[in-house]
Amino acid sequence: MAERKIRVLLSKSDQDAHELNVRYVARVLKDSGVEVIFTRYQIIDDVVKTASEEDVDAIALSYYSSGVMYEVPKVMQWLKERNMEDVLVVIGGILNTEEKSKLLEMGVGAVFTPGVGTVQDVADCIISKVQRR
Amino acid sequence: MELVDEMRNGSVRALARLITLVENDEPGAFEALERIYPYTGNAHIIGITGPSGAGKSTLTDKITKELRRQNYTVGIIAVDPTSPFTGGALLGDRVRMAGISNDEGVFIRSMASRGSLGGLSRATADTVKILDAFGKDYIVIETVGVGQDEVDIVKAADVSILVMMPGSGDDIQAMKAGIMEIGDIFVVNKADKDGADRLVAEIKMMLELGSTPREWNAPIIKTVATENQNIDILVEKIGEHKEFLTKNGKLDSRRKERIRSEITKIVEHEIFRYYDSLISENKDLFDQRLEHILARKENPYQLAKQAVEIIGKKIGTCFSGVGG
Repeated sequence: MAERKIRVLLSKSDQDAHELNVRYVARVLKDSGVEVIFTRYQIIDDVVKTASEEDVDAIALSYYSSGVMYEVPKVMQWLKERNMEDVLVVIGGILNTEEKSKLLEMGVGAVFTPGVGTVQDVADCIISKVQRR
Repeated sequence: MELVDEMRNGSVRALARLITLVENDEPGAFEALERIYPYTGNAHIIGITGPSGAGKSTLTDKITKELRRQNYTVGIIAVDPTSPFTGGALLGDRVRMAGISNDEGVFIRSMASRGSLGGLSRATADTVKILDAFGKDYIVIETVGVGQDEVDIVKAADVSILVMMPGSGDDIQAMKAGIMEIGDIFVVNKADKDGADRLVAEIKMMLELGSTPREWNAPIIKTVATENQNIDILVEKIGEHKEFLTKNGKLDSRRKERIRSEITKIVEHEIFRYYDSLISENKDLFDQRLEHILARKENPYQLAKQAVEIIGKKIGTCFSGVGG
């Protein structure tokens, strides 16, 4: 049997100008042995179609401006409808405590905000959560 | 096998899961491929290769849009290299295909090369078959030409498109001589840059000097993919080439060669499995022998020969009921 690799869809809105941090996360994940599919979505619908085609283990979305509380519930709903609840969803970005707890309540696996741990911690967290599933 | 039935019924999820199955060589992969095989052979396979930055992904996006405009369905396999140090990969080709990403008639799969020995991986060839069985009219394999990949992609595709861009000056040198002779369509992308015409002339000269006599006159097309310039001509040429192949029975002979080399690869892989388990079952002993060889107490050829003998005997006993 060939080696089983972890595949992560790392995505952000193409309307969001901030990309440096996402690219850094992509790099660290790659250096940790992960296959990172990086995309910019025009509409959030794109994300679930992509995740489905790419058969990813996790979806990691990055938010530096608004949209998170509108888009993530949609993603969680679509994953449920398509029987893809085993896909880990993690969110990173500029989020307040209220948003963070609401996201976790929705079934998001982890929420990362700036200043809490390093990018390597983020990568390690995603990897260990995927491996546990 | 349910997954195969679901895929044949149009389930994208099943299609994706099947690809994962064969990519990871999971139990059931072989069986799945055997089951879908009768449904393959319909799709037209386009190979796109060339140096990094030439615009392959953008070109793939535009070609697909044009094919979609003509109501064909498309499957895309975008291959990127796996880091030999970390085993990870950054698969970013989809970024250039944002426009077609939400089209239900287009299926895109990003694949990492996963350090496959000898270029284009078996997983890619198997994925082509699954997309074929799913019913895609066209399948595009897009990969950076590094090492053996260029030659492999020519074998894997019905039409191979080589994409280059003006600038470095040693583009022709960078492309191995073999691929230059076997490419079916040449594209000089980013043709709005300086040196485009010169590059076209260089390619033309190289083709004229080529040793292999060609029946198909490989066209050289200047494009500016981002501006959609000449994409229609490119797609037209793909169609012309397809007609040329079908008319002369060349499509069949080309595909026969592909099957031949596929079987070789599968056999190699199966035999290698024996070697791989032999080594892992005798790790310490093997390591000791390596030390001996390092110290010139013995040579690598002896060890290799011995391994082959052991494997041969093992395979021999497995096949003891079959033929000679």
